[in-house]
Amino acid sequence: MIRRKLAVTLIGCAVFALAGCGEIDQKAKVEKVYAGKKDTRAAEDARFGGDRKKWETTLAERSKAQNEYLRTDPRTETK
Amino acid sequence: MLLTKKSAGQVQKSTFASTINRAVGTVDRRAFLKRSGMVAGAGAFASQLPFSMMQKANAASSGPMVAADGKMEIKRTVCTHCSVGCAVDAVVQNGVWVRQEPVFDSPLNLGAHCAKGASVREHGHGEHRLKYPMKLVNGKYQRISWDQAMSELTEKFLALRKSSGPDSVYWVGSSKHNNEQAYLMRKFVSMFGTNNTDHQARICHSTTVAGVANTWGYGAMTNSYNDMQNAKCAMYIGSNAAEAHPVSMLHMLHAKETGAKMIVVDPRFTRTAAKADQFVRIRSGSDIPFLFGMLYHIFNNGWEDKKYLNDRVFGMDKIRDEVMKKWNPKAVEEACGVPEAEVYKVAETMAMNRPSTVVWCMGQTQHTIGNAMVRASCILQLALGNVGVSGGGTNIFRGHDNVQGATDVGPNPDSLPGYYGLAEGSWKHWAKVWNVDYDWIKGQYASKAMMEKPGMTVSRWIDGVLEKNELIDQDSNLKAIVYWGHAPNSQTRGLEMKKAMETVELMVIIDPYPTASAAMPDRKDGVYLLPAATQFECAGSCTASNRSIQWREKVIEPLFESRPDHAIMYDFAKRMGFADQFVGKRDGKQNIAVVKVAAGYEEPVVEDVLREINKGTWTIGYTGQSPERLKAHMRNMDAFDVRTLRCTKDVIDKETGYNMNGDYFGLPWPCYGTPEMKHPGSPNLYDTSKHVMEGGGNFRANFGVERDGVSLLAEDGSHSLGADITTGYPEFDHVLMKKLGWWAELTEAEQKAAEGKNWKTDLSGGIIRVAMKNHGCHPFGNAKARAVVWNFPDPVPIHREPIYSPRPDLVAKYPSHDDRKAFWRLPTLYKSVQEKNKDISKQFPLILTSGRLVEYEGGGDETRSNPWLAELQQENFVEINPKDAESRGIKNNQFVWVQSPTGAKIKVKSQITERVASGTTFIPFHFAGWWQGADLLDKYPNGAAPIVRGEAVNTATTYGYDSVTMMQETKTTLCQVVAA
Amino acid sequence: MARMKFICDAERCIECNGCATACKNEHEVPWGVNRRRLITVNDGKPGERSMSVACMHCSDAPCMAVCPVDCFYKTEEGVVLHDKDLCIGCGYCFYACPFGAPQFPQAGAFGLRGKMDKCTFCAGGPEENHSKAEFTKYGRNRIAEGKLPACAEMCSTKALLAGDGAVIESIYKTRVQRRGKGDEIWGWAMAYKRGDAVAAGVKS
Ligand code: SF4
Ligand code: SF4
Ligand code: SF4
Repeated sequence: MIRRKLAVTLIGCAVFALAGCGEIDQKAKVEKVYAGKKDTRAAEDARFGGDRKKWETTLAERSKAQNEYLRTDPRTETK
Repeated sequence: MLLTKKSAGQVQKSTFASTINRAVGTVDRRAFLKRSGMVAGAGAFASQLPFSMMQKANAASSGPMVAADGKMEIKRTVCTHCSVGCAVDAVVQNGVWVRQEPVFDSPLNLGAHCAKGASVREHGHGEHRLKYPMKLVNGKYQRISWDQAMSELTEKFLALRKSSGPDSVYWVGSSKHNNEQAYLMRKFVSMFGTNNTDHQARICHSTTVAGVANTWGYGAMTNSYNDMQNAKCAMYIGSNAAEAHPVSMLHMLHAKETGAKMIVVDPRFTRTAAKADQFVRIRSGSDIPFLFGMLYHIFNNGWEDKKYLNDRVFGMDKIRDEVMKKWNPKAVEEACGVPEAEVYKVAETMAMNRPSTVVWCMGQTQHTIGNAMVRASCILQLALGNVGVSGGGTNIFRGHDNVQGATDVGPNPDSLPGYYGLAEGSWKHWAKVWNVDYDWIKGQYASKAMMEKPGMTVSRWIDGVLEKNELIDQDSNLKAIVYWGHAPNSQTRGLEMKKAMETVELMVIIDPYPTASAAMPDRKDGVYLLPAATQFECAGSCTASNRSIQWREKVIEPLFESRPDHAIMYDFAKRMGFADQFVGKRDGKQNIAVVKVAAGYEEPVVEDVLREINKGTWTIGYTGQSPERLKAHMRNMDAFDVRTLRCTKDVIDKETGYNMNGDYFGLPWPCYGTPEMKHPGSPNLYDTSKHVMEGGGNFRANFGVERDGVSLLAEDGSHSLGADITTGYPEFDHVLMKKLGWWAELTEAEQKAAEGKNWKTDLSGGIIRVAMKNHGCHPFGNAKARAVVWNFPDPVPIHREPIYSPRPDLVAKYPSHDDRKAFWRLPTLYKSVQEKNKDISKQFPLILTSGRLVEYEGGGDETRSNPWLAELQQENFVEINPKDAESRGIKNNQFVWVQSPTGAKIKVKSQITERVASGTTFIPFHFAGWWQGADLLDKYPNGAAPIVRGEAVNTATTYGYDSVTMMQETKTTLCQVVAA
Repeated sequence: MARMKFICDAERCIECNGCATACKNEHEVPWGVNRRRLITVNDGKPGERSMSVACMHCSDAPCMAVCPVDCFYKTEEGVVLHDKDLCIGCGYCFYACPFGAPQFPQAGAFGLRGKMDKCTFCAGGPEENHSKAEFTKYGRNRIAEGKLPACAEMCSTKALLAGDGAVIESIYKTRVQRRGKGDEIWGWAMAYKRGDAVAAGVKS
């Protein structure tokens, strides 16, 4: 069922329209418990020493590089 | 629900991706990748190597990635795969290139990379490189020492020079050399005594350089990738930027988001076309009918910029006559296949959304009438008043990372560095800069006449070997060919090239990779391979398409036994007995220092070479870009605005104390005068809205002051902002300076140097300083652009059918040129070949055109040897329309033979797609290593064959050369496709 | 708190494979294993669009649900990772994943499946951060360095965005508003939640 619907959406739309299938229930219903090794958390890295705030700010700062509007928007243009 | 099921038996293949495969139907050219991990499971389970480790320096399997003693360094370099010039930060540990980080600060690419740029670290490992000098013995490549290779080669070159003259050796240089190496290459061949040298620009944008320079002054992109953000409309004609210049699309798509219109005109529905607001499909080779068809509507509706044409353009009336007489909508549709309404819409969009820009690449240049096509594009932009305007211009995207620089200062057969030409005065200028005796150089040449006669071109070297001796315009045929950083499979007529390679006495390949040249010919001996270092293994400057010059730091030491190109040149010079001349050592002075490196060879100091370039290249303003200024820019990239490329505040470089305020990034040439004059570089050429000391300008006075009784100088009131002379004016020389009463403003030393000189030959830079700084005038004068280039075969661009045309009816109407006898030293045929092949389309009915893929560059030897890229494109293919495939019984993704009128046949996979129209086929040109169906793996040196090999399209391409520059015709020829 | 997500902007993606190659380079992923790859619809026809696909680090990850040895875990930031020491290479996750993300290098000569490999959001795996063991099994840990995924950072047109959902949604939202027409964020609703897509100002 679901698959057929997906295919139809795909053929029918010029732009990819996956979001049109929002009614699919995707809840993983099985309760799962991770059985593997423990991992170190990112903010625990030596660079951040467990300071999660610092880590988050670093990432947020870095994210700006993905937004070229911050450097090219006409309103920010320096004359 | 399905997705929550846990048992294996019930898990079904329901992935989104597989749905797509079904929905799309045809398999695209990356089909194998889709299969991997997508189709029916199997592909996801790759039968390949385990995770590899490139951290050889620190190979223990446990412990931290960064060894405590490991010195981590960041080296800033620039991608070597196209002219966008994307910056790369290389992380180097213990001399090993361990990581690659994006440079968000770069105003050119803001950290972005296409596949090629994202893969450059692999070149710093290069398992498939040529590792040591080799020599072909009995049909097998054998390792030899550098010393043996260099002494044997020197002996052979000198023997040839003696027996057959210096013109018997052909030196193919490279657009992948940095500026300093390219410049030294031209110097080296001059000192060897020949003009038989060339590089990739010949087969890339030579028609642009000639056509554009003859229209308004300089043969280069007028604006920049960044400036396209200021365009309200962009028309790409013959450019597939999404694959050839991917990061340029960052700027275009940004512009589009902020309202700009995008038009793509091409025979193929390219990936660039997929992003356009309007796509127009023209027949390959019919650009002039289309462009003049646009002009028809522009003139008809009065959309031309009348004041601009009056003030700044010569000869538009003649164009208008031609357009209105010959290119009415019916004639246009007949020639290029585009109905009136579509042409009208493009013309209207370009006219109503000014500033509008035009982008072109090889789709326009690589034709027998390439010089006329590019001028038609220039004329369109002049008519719309779009040149010399931010957001407008002709944005000509160059190909290789340094093809612009190599064109400017490198090994060109018809000019010394800086477009000075080959006249006696030019030689004397450079002899002085080089600190050598003019008569000594003359003595190196066969004669003064040969010294001033343009050499053969790389597109035709094969004819220099194969043509009858009495028909060529030099004493001896070519006896040796040196491929110094150039692939063979990017040149047409492969069958004859193989023959030429087998005919010469000596073949020398100097390259990081053996290239297809090592494998193509069937020879037993007489081939030498010398391993050159890549640009990541040496420092130097390179010029991006927008004329910005960037400095690359050396990332790592040369790998294996490879050596930098300039060190190899110096070694040859030394062995041939002109080491001193080569580095300008005379009378107690030495221009270029030489250092001995740890590996034991000697290397000219790159910074000194750039300083010598600075000292002599006044014509195009390569004088202000001192190594210190360039390095400061590279360290402070964030100081420059992305839209304007300008630094507008005080930013002081910590290392040098240099203040970048006012500079444009990379000091885009022309950056006039001495570095001390602090010209900021020119972001957009011919822009009268700015002062010349702010990067402004106007069209160049380079074609006299009058023609047919009409003045060629700009009209009164049309001048760069703040100029003291408000009329048109000729270029500056000592006479004009004196006439104007400005001579006294030169210092005494400057007066001494400038006496009897013009702005291009005054080594003090005094004339330039006074004209620009004191009076706001442009040293090259202020004239009109030429819509009519009277010194070209077709002063008004004329459409001529390709030599191998699918339309005999149009050949009759638009025939090719008459044959030429001695053109770049060779007879060159047009009409006679076209006549002979008038009806060839009966046997070979399909147009064959070629172009790029995003993963590979040029001949592809380097990129096809890089596993990260090679995995993405594993086989060569031909794009063919479903209709043409069906009528030939060809299925998708099967082997087919592509046959050409030369008798060649190449075996490639079929790729059935509507990307090409019925009647047209397309093959990418990056492949080599197969020869008419056979894999040449055995003929490469052991372990140095590229990972992906395939059939070269140019094995099948045909005869045909531009009537000004000898550009080869690769974009329109004919073929037949049959199932294999 | 940061919730890591990907967005691929189909209006911008030019199928240049920069992202896929950046991933190969950063993690030295072997030939044949593709943590990220490109999918194109209407190839060669008007309406051609490409999307860059990797593990979407789904809110309710189907791979996690089907794994018989429970080797998957999710970090606080929503990154789905797994323990290769536990993985038995069964391939269930591959079948369950709507994006075909899990990849299987071949371990032995006889077509034996190796441990599953997939996109880690450049967050390494359950080994000491930046250790050799982490690198050889999972690749580099950029997230712990305060960096973002290599693929997104190097995307040639900034089509591929990665990072905190709220941040990249707002970047994307600006673009959609500029264009003045809605688009769909590829894979969003399936991987995350419908509500998020709406929050990003996206017509669905
Ligand atoms: S090939 Fe060109 S666009 Fe791609 S990364 Fe290199 S310089 Fe940039
Ligand atoms: S997030 Fe990292 S691991 Fe995932 S696809 Fe991107 S580069 Fe590869
Ligand atoms: S790098 Fe960006 S534009 Fe290129 S294929 Fe990946 S997502 Fe698309």
